[in-house]
Amino acid sequence: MLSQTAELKKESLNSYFHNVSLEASNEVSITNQKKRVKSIAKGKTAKNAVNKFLKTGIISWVILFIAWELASRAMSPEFLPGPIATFKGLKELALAGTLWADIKISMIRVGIGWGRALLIAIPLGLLIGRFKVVKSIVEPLINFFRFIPAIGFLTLFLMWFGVGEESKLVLITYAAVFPIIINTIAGVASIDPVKYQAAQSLGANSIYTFFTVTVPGAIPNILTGVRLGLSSAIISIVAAEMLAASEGLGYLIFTSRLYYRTDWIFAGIIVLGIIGFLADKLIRFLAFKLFKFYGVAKQ
Amino acid sequence: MSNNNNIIENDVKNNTNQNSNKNVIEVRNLGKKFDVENKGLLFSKNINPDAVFSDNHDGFVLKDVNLDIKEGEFHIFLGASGCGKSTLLNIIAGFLNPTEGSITCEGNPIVKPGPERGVVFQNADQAIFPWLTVYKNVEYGLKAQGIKKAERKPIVENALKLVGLQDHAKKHPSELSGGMKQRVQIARSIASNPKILIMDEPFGALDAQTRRTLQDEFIEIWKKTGKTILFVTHDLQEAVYLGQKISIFSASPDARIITQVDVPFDYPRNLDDPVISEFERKVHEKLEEAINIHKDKNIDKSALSA
Repeated sequence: MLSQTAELKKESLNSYFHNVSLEASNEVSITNQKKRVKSIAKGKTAKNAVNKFLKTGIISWVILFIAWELASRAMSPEFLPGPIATFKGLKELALAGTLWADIKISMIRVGIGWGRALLIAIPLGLLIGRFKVVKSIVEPLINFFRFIPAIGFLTLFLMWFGVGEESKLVLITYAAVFPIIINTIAGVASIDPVKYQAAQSLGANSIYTFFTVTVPGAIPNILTGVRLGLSSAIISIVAAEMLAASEGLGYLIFTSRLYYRTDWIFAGIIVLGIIGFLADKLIRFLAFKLFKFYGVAKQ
Repeated sequence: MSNNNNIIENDVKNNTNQNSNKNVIEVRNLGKKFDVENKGLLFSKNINPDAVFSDNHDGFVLKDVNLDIKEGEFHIFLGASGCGKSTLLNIIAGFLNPTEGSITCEGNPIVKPGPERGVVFQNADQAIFPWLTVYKNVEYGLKAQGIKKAERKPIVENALKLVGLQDHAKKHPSELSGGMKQRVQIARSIASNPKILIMDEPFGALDAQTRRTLQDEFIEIWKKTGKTILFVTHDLQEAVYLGQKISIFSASPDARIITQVDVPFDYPRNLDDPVISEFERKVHEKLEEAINIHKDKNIDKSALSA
């Protein structure tokens, strides 16, 4: 292996000297060389542009829409409305004004439910990760309940928290809390023990260390949990608005079946997807701006 | 902490007492044994647990260690990888407790880490806080100790000046080179005005050029501050280049300090000087002896049985 690379180097060196001697004697070949370099550079920028385009993900969407449209034409519009029909349905809802009201109420519910989950899960995860006593008490329960889907509690929550807003918020919080806790615990575990040793050697007590090493050190994983928690919250909005709701995107999706409006179902699904996508982008953007030096990756 | 205000001035005073007879660290008959159940938790990744726990000896990594480190001294721990020198360093720093024997810092038993024993870790990336600026990293210990903001500022600025980072105070560690990160660590420890600065192969991860630069700079820092230094290395040249006193460790298990060598040369030292290279050769012989201590025993045993 080594001798091979050495030989290769030798060869390339030889050819380099060869070129130099040739070109020194021939001005024309130098200009040729320059042209070649230029054309290579042109090729490269073209390649970069292609790569950039590929990265945007537009191609996947174009393929999906074409496949979807083709599939919908093969079936009845009620069974599978195509993208065009869905867009028409969306327009209809938007013009009627119900779409904006649905988006607003669902976003408020997701926002409050998710916000509560953050307030519960981040401190709890940090304490579980840092203090063995807390861990031994709380973690077994978490490992039991995190496998039970929020929808399993739907009836119980309605019974316990009433048919108003509260039961919906509790459901969303329940769904969002577990990914945040688990990622926060992982974040605390990922902190290099040398950092704690350094803090102790500098005279920091355990409370000071908790706030200056544990909390900032866990931030990259906490943000992963925050993002996963948001997606759980958005997913659970449909379940939350399935019963005893009169507006919201979940309500739209769930009640459209009564009118046989599958295009509205698709419209609701697409709007939910777009909201989640944009919210996640926003979180990632803010996280990178705010926590760049905590080790949060840009992508 | 009241003397903390002006590190440099305070320590120039110490400098005149350099190599006084006062001991900063005293270690008496110290032994360290790791529990078999804690095999996986062995502190140094270099110590081979199977070697330590094998056959006829009782699992002591360090045994009968005696050591005095004098005030203002540049003291080197030299030994092969896995000889337990990092374990002893961790005991002095307070990260580990000894199984037997006693250890004191200025007469007080060492039971846990403290700012009077500053530690510079081998890997600056692990040890400094990437989310804090250079300035805040250096300020960390002072803040943790509850020193007021107005008092902190001159100390941090002095410490930064001492390591030559005054123009990089607002940068984050990710914007610094490896050598600069190690300077941040040194400044951070010195800002707490420790009695002793404990350094665990601090330049081991740097490239040769940067290492030499930092070694030279560090000699200057030591001269300016008069700090007592405990410096762990497995690099013989580094030991001879930097140290005033070299403690040579025998191989583990049952590692101990088997010889101490005084280095009689002034700074800066020229390793190409024939007198110094001859000295280095002699230290090398002692180190070889120390490393092969167990091998010799085995040979003796087999010779007896034959």
